[in-house]
Amino acid sequence: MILQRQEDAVPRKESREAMFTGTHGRMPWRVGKESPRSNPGPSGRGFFASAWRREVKTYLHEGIDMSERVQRRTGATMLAAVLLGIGIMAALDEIGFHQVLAWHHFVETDNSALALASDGLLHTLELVMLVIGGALMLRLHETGQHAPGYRGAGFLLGMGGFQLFDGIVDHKILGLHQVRYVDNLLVYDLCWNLAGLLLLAIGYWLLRRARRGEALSQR
Amino acid sequence: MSGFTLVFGALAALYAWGWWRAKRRGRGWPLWRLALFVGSALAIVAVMSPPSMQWAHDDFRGHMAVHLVAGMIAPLGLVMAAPVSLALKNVPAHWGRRWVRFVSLPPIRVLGHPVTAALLNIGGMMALYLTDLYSAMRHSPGFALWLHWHFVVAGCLFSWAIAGPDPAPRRPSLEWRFGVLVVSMAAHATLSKWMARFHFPASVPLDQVQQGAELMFYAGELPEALLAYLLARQWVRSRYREPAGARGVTP
Repeated sequence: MILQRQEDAVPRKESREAMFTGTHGRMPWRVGKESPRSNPGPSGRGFFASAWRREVKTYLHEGIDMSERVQRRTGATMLAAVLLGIGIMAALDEIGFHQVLAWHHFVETDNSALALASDGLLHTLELVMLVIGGALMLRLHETGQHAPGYRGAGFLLGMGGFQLFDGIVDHKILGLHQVRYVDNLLVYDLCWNLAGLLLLAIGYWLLRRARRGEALSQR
Repeated sequence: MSGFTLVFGALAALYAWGWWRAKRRGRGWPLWRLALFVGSALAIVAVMSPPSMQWAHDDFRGHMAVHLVAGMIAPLGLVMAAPVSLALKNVPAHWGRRWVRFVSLPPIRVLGHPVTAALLNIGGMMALYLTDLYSAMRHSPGFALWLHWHFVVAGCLFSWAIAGPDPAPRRPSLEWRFGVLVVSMAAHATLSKWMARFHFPASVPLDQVQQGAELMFYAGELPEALLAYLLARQWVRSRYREPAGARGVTP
C-alpha cells in the first residue's frame, strides 16, 4: 500500500468542517477510513458537553475558522528551538565530558587569562541562550503561537551547530582544552565534528519538511 | 545575638504581620511570597550564625558557601517577595506617591541603576579576591562585618535593579538590564576561573582556592540563571500577548 502524502490528505489550512469532522490531527493513512462524523465531540448533558456543542454551532454558523484565530510564529519558534538546542548541547558537554567523564578539567595549566575570560563569556552566553530559549518556547506554547515542525528542526540545528563550533573554535582555535588527552586525538576530533555534522543534516532535513508543510508533528 | 539576627528577624516578622493584615482586610497576598521572604531571611540568619562564620573564617570553601547564600540566593528571594508592594498595600495611598517620589530622586536612581549595582557587586568581589584585601578581612573583625553587610545589601540592590517586581518609575530599558546581567555573569565566571588558574587570593592554600572557585562557578550560576529567567519572562510576556478570545475556544 502506498501511503498518501500528508499534504494531499490534510490541507494546510483546514476548512472549518474539517476541524469538527475528524480529519484534524489524524494520522494521514487513517484519513478517510472513518465516517465523516466520527468525532462528534463530547456527548451527554453535562455542562462542558453542552457548552462545547453550543460553541461549535456558533462557529459553524458564523463561519469563523478556528485554525486561523491564532497567529503561528515561525521565526520565533525557530529562534527559541535553536537557542534551546545550543543551551542543551552546552549543558550536556559540561555535565557529560567535564563532570562525569572528567576528560577535561575546570582550567588547564597552560590557559592564558584571555582564553579563560573568553571561556567564561561563552559559558555565560550558553546559559543565557538556554534560559531565553526556554522562556520564549514556554510563552509560545502558552499562547498557542508555536509553529509545528520548526521545534525539532531548530533544536537539532542548534545542537549540531554548537557541537561543530565547540569542536573547531573552542578546541582548535582558542585551545581551551582537547576532547581527550590521548595519543590518537585525531579520531576523537573527527568523531566530535562528524556527530555535529550529522545533527545538522537531520535538522536541515526536518526544516525542509516543515517548510513544505510535511512536518512530522502537526500540533 | 548578632545584628543580622536582629535585623532580618525583625524584617521577617514585619513581612508576616503585613501579610496577615492584608489578608484580614480582604486584599490577599500569595502565601508563597511570605514563605520566600521568611525563608530567605532565615537563610541569612543561619549563614551569619557563629558556627557557620567560624567555618567561613577557617576554610575558603566555607567562605564561598556563605557568600553564595548571603550575597546571591537569599537577596533574590527577598527581592522577589516584593516587600515594598506588600508595605504599600498596608499604608494609606499617599505613601505610595511618597515612595515614587523617593525612588525618582537622582541619587537613588543612580544608585539603583543596573550598572552601579553590578559595579558594587562584581567590583567589590574583584577587589576582595584579586588584591590582598582577603587576608586583611581575615585579621580584622570590623572590616569582615562591614564586608558581609556589603554582600547582602549589594546582592539585594543588584536583584532589584535587574528584575525587581516592586514599583519603580522610569526604569532602564530591558536591553540595558539584560546587557548588564550578561556582563556581570561573564565577569563572575571569569573571576572564578582566574582564581583557580592564578591562585587568588594567594594567602589561601591552592586546593581550597580551586574547590571554592568551582563552587563559585557552578553554584553561582543557578541564582544568576533564575534572575535571567525572571527578566526573560517579563520580556516575552510583553512581546507575545494572549490572542484576544483565544482562551476556551479550542475544543
